[in-house]
Amino acid sequence: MKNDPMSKASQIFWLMGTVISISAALFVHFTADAPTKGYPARNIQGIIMWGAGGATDTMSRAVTPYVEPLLKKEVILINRSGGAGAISTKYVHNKKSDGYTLLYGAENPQLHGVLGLSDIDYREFYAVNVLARGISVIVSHPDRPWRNLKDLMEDVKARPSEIKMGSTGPGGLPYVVGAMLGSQGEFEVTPVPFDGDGPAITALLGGHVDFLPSGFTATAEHIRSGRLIALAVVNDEEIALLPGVPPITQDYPAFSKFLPWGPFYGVFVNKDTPEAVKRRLTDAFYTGASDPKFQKFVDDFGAIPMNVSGEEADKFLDKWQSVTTWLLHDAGATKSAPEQFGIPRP
Amino acid sequence: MNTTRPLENAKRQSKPGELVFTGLLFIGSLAITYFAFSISGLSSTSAPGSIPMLAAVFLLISSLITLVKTAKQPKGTEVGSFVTAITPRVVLFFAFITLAYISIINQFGFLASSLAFLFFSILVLYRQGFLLSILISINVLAIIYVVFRVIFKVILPEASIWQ
Amino acid sequence: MANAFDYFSIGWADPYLFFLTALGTFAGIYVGAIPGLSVTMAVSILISFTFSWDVNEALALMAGIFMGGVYGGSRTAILLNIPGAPSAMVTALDGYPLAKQGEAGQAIGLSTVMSFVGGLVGIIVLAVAAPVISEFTLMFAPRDYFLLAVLGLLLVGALSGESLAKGIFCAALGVSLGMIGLDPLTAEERFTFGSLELTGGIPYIAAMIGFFGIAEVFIQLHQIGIQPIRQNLDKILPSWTLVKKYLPLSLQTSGIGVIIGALPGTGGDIAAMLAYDHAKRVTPEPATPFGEGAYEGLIAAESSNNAAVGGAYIPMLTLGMPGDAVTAVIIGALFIHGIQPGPLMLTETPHLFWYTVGNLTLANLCILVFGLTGIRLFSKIVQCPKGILLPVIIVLSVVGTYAIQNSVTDVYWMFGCGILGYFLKTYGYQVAPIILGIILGPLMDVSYRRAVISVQDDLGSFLWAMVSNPISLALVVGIAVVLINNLRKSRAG
Repeated sequence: MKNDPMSKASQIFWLMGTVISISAALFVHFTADAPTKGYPARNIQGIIMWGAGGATDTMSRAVTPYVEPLLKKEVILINRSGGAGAISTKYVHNKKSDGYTLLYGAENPQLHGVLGLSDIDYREFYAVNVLARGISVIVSHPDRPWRNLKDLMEDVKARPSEIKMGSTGPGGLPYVVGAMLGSQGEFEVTPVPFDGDGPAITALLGGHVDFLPSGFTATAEHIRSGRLIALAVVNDEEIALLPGVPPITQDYPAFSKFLPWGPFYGVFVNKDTPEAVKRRLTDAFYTGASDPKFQKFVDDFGAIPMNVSGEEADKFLDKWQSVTTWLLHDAGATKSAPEQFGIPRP
Repeated sequence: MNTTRPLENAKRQSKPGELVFTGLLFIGSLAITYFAFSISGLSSTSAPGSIPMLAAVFLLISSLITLVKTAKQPKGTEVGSFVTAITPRVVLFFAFITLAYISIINQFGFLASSLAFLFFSILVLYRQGFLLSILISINVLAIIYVVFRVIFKVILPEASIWQ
Repeated sequence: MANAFDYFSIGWADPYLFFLTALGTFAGIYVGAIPGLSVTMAVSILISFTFSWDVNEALALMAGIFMGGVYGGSRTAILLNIPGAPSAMVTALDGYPLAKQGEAGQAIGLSTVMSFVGGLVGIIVLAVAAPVISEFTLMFAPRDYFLLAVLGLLLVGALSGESLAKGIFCAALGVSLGMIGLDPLTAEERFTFGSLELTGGIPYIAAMIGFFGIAEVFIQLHQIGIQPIRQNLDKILPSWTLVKKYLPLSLQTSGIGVIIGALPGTGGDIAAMLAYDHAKRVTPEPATPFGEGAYEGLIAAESSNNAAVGGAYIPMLTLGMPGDAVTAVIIGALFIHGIQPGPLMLTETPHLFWYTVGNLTLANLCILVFGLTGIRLFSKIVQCPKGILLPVIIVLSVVGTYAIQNSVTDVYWMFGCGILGYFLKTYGYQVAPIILGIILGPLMDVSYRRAVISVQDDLGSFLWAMVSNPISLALVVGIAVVLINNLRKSRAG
């Protein structure tokens, strides 16, 4: 259009026309998205601390549509992974405490201090809702000789560091469960780190590692189809979705001091957010997450619904942090001691 | 592999500033090597620093080879100085205005800073006058805004200065 | 089989689903074409958007976006030298030179047809061989991923331009840039200098926009006064003879695309690189040299990355495991819609498989239709006066980079990469090997270390495993062939 031998006047005329039509479009847009009175007056930003397609991402995107109609505004979700969640946590922490930036997170920030990643954990935030916690299982390939956890533990003792455990890096679920197993006696395995549950399970399916402590969600269907076998559930009782698989406390009763333990997923805002805003958010998320359809999703996802906020959530978060950090510290897997961050021993 | 332009390569002359640039790359490689070795040292073959160190070694060797080659090349005759051939005024102007644009985007928001950037750069580069520049800028910006903000719901920087 | 056909045609027979697939493909082309807007992001947004819909409707839209998005990346790669997505990086190598020669229309036409061929191959393999392929990909051990990464990095020989040393420098620079951030295996900080922002690394899309887009903008400033090249718009549709001539190459590179796409952990970007290398090896005497507008390069890139789409669905539909980031999000969507992704999907929700195959086929057809219309209009972008075009590209690059994760720091990185890229390009370095390094470096790093950790840091058994395992051995032989080939060529040249 710009190369044609057009007179300047006609160019200007044409451009003016476009300006008018686009201004009209913008006007329509702005009136549709116009600020309203009270909180939330405009759309809210939701920062997800893990990448697209992960468990945290799926959980966040599953709950949000139930909450949006209650808040009468959109929650625009953005994945900001990196630093095992530390980047998102700091990003939201540095934002204004006005309730317009939510942090959708998993358990990771509770370990950032002792692992030397960042000083910010959930004690700096208000828990709008801890949606659910996951259950972990210890799975293996059916070609391996082990049929329960005891078989595996004895074989590990007989062949130290020859057995390969799938892992997801320091502070990850397999790592913590591995440390718990280590507290039960000799447990020398070779942890092979993967980028997440998915890749680790794929490697287990292909026989490139021997066993894997994993979230139940990601392995459920593989167990059901018989492509993987579950050696134990990291829980103090059998779970309905995995009939016949013994809880870990059956053979190792001392495990009960760590339980309940598992990854969790929640929504957070800065601690100094105005009370009214906190209440509005808490109510909306509570009602949204109570929707039977979301509860069914959580069940299907292989997680245990929690739907708690405020003090009740804090109690859970504190216990989780205290159990896990001290466990890791005793296993020699931390950079600094939990007491440096004021985390009491359980 | 010099299959693409062997002839050109044979009588390649160095461009203004090339030797300095190659030297800088070599110094940069030295720095990267230093930092790569300080990640985990030579502790084990599977340490976090293994591949960075390997890459650093490749950086060092290749930049050294290039440095020697460039030093041997005859100086180019066909073009003028560094300033006229590599960083003429238009390049400097544009680099400056782009950097300014990026640095104000958080304070003034996407719309205002982009409008200013588009207007000034089109005014200078397109040379068709004030009115046309501003009209084109508004149009282009409106289209970009609608596509990103309205259709794809991308959050764009909002002005922090007036809040 | 009768059932299969019924399921296959669900998406074709229902006008609404048909419309959704077409709409998805159309939107996907634009998502793909705009740097910074990724298919992963678009599909993620669709999860909330399609939340209350029927699962079939959501899947139709997502299949369309995926197919269209992978194809759309080639548009901006050819027209502006800004790959809309990493998988289109290789497309830019020969596509942009064609546009500079006034052949943008033809390049888009050919790439559309070959994307269609690639997409079709991917779908056919998905339909007939999914279970076999997925079992095969499970056999890939960490060392095999390492060997694949090495094989991909050898492509630097083909991308170096005038000097191999400069090419290696750029590739090693890319690998180093790819290492920035927390080490995914040990959470050790690498090249972060204590900055939290850097622990996430530099998003490679930001680096790509900088090295390709911004650097090119600054190079173009030197020709600000020169009239842009008039595009030759007579022959948009490639002739049947041309298509027939390149069909064998397209089929071969599509094959590479499907396998690489099906491997969890590798996707269209790596597929396109390996395919480009393959094309270069089997075409000793191209009519135009590679990197200066060889049709073979364009075809290899476009067939393979679209074939990788079908490939990525293979592990998803047979095992419930993602083949890449996009299928990972689709798996999340299945969960939200109450379907349990896993190995039992094939028997318990049999319609899902054939329905998806049907959707992808439809989306692929839409690519052909949408891709071949409007080429004239698009090609005119190149004719737009530089004084307007270049500032607009900058704004697009800034928005695109910011859109990745709402970070102005990323925008600074993009600009820095652009300035460095400008000097590198000016002094005869190629920027493509940098992206090669950024993408393959991390894969090489983690898979090498994973492999060595698996054998308790014993390099002897690591090397032994490479020759004692059939897949590894095949890859080792492949690497040897490429190396010898490169050496012989460089001697001859």
